[in-house]
Amino acid sequence: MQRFALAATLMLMAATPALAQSREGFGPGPVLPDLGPIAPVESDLPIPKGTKFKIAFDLRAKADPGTLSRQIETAARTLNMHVAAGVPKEDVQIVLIFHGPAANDLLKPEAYAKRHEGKANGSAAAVKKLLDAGVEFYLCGQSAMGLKIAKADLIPGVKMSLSAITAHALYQQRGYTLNPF
Amino acid sequence: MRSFLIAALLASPALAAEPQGGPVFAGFGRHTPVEHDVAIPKGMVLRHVYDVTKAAPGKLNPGFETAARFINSHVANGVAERDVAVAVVVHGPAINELTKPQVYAARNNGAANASEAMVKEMLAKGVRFLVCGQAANAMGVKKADLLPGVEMSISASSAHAILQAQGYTLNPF
Repeated sequence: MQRFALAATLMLMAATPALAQSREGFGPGPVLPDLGPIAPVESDLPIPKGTKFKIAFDLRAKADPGTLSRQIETAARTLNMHVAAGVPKEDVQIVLIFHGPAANDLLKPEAYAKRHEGKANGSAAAVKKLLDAGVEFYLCGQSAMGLKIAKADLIPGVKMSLSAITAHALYQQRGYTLNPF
Repeated sequence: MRSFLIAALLASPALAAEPQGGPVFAGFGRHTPVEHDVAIPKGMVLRHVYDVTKAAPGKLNPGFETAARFINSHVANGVAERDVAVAVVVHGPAINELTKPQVYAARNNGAANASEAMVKEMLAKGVRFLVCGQAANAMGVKKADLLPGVEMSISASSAHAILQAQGYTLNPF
């Protein structure tokens, strides 16, 4: 049975990546129930009481039009699963630092459509929900210039930094750890 | 003399120092002796974490082996073995290579896990392997499927955040 379930899961994963949200064993998280589904884990790595997570993500890859950026979803999952594990929501601080093509995933619907033959930004709703949940978004100002993206093109609440390097350096100095993927 | 040395180096790359095994792991994690300029301050404790996703069926997983090389090369250069703490955070297909033999065989058409002996030896020397619980769940890997001593974490992001907050430096490649 277990092997059958495994094979079925793997087949499902291989055949239908779009079903990722309903993957077997994954359920909705407590902060953003419709984003970043989580799996319960018998963890061997205890989270010391009082731990304040400050995590920076680096995003360079752009999602295909109409689809949700995997890395944006990973940030949502990070928030969901640590709160599910008992960490207070205010002690999970997340910053997403965008540069290169990923900048497109931060565009307002009309600015995105203009650049993508009328298609929709599949990450826009997730970006708004994460912003509402207190997650910070920064776009590399150098990338923005290179891609001719103005601040007014960005989803409200997304911030601009001098560069992605600057944002990473400042956030690491503030005690943020860098997620390597 | 110096120009002779440079000419000799340019002419015969085969003369480069040979990688050597040990002193901690003899059969893997070979390292090359280096006339290095970066001093390791006396008493320094090195806590270092690697991120590994790629599987290497039939071979020693190069991501795991790099962690062994880190230990060999630093102990060979005078750092006490107890002062080199290494962790490997594993997500994605490489999780397979941390499973028990029967589990690995069942998942890989009866094949043997070429990294198993290396992983066991590394665990015995205190290397920590931390599996992403989210990826393991998606792959259908349970805690009981893992080699004894391999740790399960909530997620790879979680393990990285905790280890970095505990002073582990992140290897950037």
